[in-house]
Amino acid sequence: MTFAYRRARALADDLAAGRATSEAIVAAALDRIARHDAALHACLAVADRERALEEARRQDRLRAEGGAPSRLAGIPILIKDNMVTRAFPTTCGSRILEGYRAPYDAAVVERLAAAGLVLLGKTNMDEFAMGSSTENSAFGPTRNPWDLERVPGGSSGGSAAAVAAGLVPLALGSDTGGSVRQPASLCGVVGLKPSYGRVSRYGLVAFASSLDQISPFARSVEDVALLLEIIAGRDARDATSREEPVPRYADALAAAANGHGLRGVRIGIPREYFVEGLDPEVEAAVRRALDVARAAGATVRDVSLPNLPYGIATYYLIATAEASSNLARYDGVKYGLRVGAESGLRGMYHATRREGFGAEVKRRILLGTFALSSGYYEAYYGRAQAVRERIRRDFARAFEEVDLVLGPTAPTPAFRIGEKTADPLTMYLSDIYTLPANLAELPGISIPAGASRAGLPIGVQILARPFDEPRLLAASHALEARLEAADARPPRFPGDA
Amino acid sequence: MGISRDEVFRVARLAHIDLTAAEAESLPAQLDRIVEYVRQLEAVPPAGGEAAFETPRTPLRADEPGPCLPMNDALGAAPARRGDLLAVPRVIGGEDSA
Repeated sequence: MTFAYRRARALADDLAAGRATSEAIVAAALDRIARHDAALHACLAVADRERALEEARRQDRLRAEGGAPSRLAGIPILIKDNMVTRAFPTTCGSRILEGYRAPYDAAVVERLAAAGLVLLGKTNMDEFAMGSSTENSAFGPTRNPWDLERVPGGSSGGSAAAVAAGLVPLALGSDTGGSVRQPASLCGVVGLKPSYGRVSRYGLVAFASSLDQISPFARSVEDVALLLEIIAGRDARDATSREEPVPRYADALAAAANGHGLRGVRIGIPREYFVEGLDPEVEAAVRRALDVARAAGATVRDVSLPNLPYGIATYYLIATAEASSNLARYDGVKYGLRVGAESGLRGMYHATRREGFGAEVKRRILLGTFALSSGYYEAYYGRAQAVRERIRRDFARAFEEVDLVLGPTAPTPAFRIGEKTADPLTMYLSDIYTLPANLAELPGISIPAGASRAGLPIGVQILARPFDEPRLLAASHALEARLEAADARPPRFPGDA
Repeated sequence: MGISRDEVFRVARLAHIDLTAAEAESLPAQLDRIVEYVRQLEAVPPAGGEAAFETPRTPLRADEPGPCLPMNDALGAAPARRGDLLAVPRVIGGEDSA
């Protein structure tokens, strides 16, 4: 039996029916990582084979005894290298944390383990999740499985590429301004950013705390729903995680299976989405998705989000302000790199941060420090906070008229490695469609919607009201079935023989 | 006009970051462009009822002692320690004492 590219749900059914063992699935995933990751560079750490197989056999035994801890027990998974683990180093793609081993596990790592998933390693990322291409990793870029000369998107590019190349069926990333949805779009997989507060951030290395959210990748909407069910819920160790009960998301999909997911659903298409810079092939994919949704019984209407054009400026002030504060902790004292101890305390801070941080992290810390500094605070940070509130209200008003908002995930398909590195501002513009959901704390998903003439994946994004993941997932599931763009396989990475 | 070269170096000092020679060349111009871009927020028409500063929305837990990491675990990744303390370059009586 071949396992590469099989959905998590299909693997779970195989396990439940006794057609496969976790040991065989995990062994196949490790083989595939060993065979293909040199070309992709999706992983920064891979589990010791014997230890991973031991855990898989333990899950097989539990299942045989009737005690599988969850439906996804025994399924392999990779997580982005900004979620702390005792079993692997946590580098955040940065020299400043090279080799760092955390003394505790992130809340999501505990939840995955309790549910019986088998953690196979950590994935590559833009340093401290700052980037849209995974080129800002201190350990070298990840490559897009569809074209190795192109970026996988970012910052969770390693996780997206791993799922797209069929290394694992599931992965976790983190989404601060689109860092899961944008790479999902560029790699042709599904990425779901839950509502802010849906998943505990305990043990997620902080970038911008009011925007960060741990987010699942998979090969189908159903699989991200099953994974969300495992990682979602209140955790007292993250004061911003919310009490809202965790619904059985997969049940919402079962109801949607025969097309109900779109029938009567009101979909809004923001007028402000169709701006200069939107690739015509991406626009065509969005228009087609709207036609398909209409044919499945949805109604489509224009909505307006008048403050959307200010989204990028607002985001890059708030995110960098928070980052400048969060990253102050890397000073050569408590953990990580220490350089220049002979030049006094201040000299050590300066030298450690010069050697430890890459250029993009420095740019953002400086922008954030500037935005918070005396004399500029009100004009920059204060202003951005006010505009963030306006963007939130724009969405609240739109959601009085519609149930979902649909549009592009990224303005273009995957771009070439090196194409945007010289011009940071152009790179920031790749987040134009994704970051408003973080500013407004909304759930958002990217699902595959087709391919460009050059054969590169194109995703569409759907947004919903806060904590309306059930409706978001049901509609996406129904749309996914009709678009017939999911489960595409990059030709360079054929399935197991 | 975004941010001057001198201002970039002032902010770098505030942020405790030395720039490499290459960054000192490229970063001021890049930041100037970025700051110029974000200044478009000045054009957002005022009034709309929102306060200039939003009330912090983050709920805070009660400030009560609770379980925490054992000391050895917490200090285990420190680049230098002396017993149960983090070791740092001399602060008092050294060049940083002023």
